[in-house]
Amino acid sequence: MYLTLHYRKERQNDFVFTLLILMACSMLVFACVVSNPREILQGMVRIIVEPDGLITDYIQLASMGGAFFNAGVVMLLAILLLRVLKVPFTGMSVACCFLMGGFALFGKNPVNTLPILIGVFLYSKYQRQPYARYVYVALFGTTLSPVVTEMGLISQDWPAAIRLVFPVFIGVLIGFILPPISAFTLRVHQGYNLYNVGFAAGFVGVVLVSILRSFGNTFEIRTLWSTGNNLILSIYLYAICLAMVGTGFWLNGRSFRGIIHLTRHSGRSVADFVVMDGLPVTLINMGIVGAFAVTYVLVVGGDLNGPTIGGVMTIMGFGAFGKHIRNIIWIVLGVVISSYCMIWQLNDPSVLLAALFSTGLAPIAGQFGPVWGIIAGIIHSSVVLNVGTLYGGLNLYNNGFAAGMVCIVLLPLIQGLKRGGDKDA
Amino acid sequence: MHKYREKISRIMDELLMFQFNAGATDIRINLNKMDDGILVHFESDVKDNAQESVDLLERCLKGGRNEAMEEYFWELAGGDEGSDSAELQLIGHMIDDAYVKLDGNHLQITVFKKYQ
Repeated sequence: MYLTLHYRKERQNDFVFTLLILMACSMLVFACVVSNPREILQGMVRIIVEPDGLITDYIQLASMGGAFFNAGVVMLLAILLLRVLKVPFTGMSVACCFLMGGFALFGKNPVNTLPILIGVFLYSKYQRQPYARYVYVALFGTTLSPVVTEMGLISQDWPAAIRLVFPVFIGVLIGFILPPISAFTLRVHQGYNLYNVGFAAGFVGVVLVSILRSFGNTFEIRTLWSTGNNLILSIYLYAICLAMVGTGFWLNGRSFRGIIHLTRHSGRSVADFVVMDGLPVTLINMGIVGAFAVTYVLVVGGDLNGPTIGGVMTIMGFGAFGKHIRNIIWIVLGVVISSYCMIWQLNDPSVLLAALFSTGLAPIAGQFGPVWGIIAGIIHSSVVLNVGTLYGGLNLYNNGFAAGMVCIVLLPLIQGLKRGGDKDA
Repeated sequence: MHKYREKISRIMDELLMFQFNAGATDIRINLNKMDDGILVHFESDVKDNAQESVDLLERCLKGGRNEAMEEYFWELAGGDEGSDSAELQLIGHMIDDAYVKLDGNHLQITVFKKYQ
């Protein structure tokens, strides 16, 4: 393990690792600034024992300090897991760790993620492959973490031994089956949905919840949504964005050279900006898209809280792996346009999250142009508001599932409407 | 050798597509099964202004093996005509060694992938 603040291109791996550690530490420090240790501890306990299905804002459920401390811990664990497994730190690692931190503000915690990580580990042993090969599926697969807590609630009247084993067993089972399913769904959307495991997990969630409903279980969709913290949270987020742009600018020879070139990538997987364009330009891009996301929430009159910061952090993270201002803006515009002719408001919790997470479809705008990007955004905003009930809110990447659905409908259409054939044959 | 043959096939597909896009007219492929892996060698004659895309190919192929990326994304490799370098980068994550040389219009690409 090697921490360094001295950037050298040949040791980029260590520098990315260090920056991720610093990001996780910033969340821990922020937690200690806004809450005292007692509040943090009590908050962590509530986060672990309470249900985590969509939308459970940990700031509302526990406390701001508890939520950020949990996010810092989860992000730190994800970073260390990648390091221990000797996975190279590239744009994908940045996206994955930021997403883990972001979703640990509204659904993931160190306890409910563990069974799924173990399940994928067992699958890797079953395939006689190193765990490192499946670590991204494992980390992204924790999208179904709320299932673990929910199973604990379902089994609370059962005998003690079963009550303890059942949630862990279901979590492990989910982890075990996710790798082949996510490999399949990748083929379906061809890399145009950046939240592939969300799409795969959605199907697992639909099947699981359907089976459980057949036994008479019900799944409550709830909305725990904190408000009134925009000032302090926007200061924190803008500071992070500014630090990213500033660090990138400094390391890039005090210039923004290369940022235009970065925005020419379609963003379709595998568009790893750290590998293709280098870390300095990528950091500038992450700061820009992050600031755009924060500004969007504030401009539409939305609330900065656990879920929306999760959205902002996911956009920042994928600013290293597929998202840039030129491909996300059209998708968000599609969601904004849809709000004028449909029945919802832009600052409704679900719509706010739809706008932020719809950017998982950014590669469609990047590859096929603004018009298809806007259409994707419009369709996505409708689909995402209707699919959550299928899995009782237990798939945290609700938008990943919806984005996959949009791809299934749009991609064949786009490709079918393309005129002409090969240039030379 | 998890899905090894399928992966080799995807790698070849992608590199073949690269040569089509570079205007290749006479493509020869040689595949050698060795003790520790498979070596694939391509030779072709490409169009005059292919230097820039060949440089990009070389950078992508020499990006270094990344098993985590390979396992997550390998199904996206091959069969796409997109001009973005993303899939070439993916091929770089899937192979252990690469050699690329453009001599006039004559292009040689050699890639090696270990069994494990």
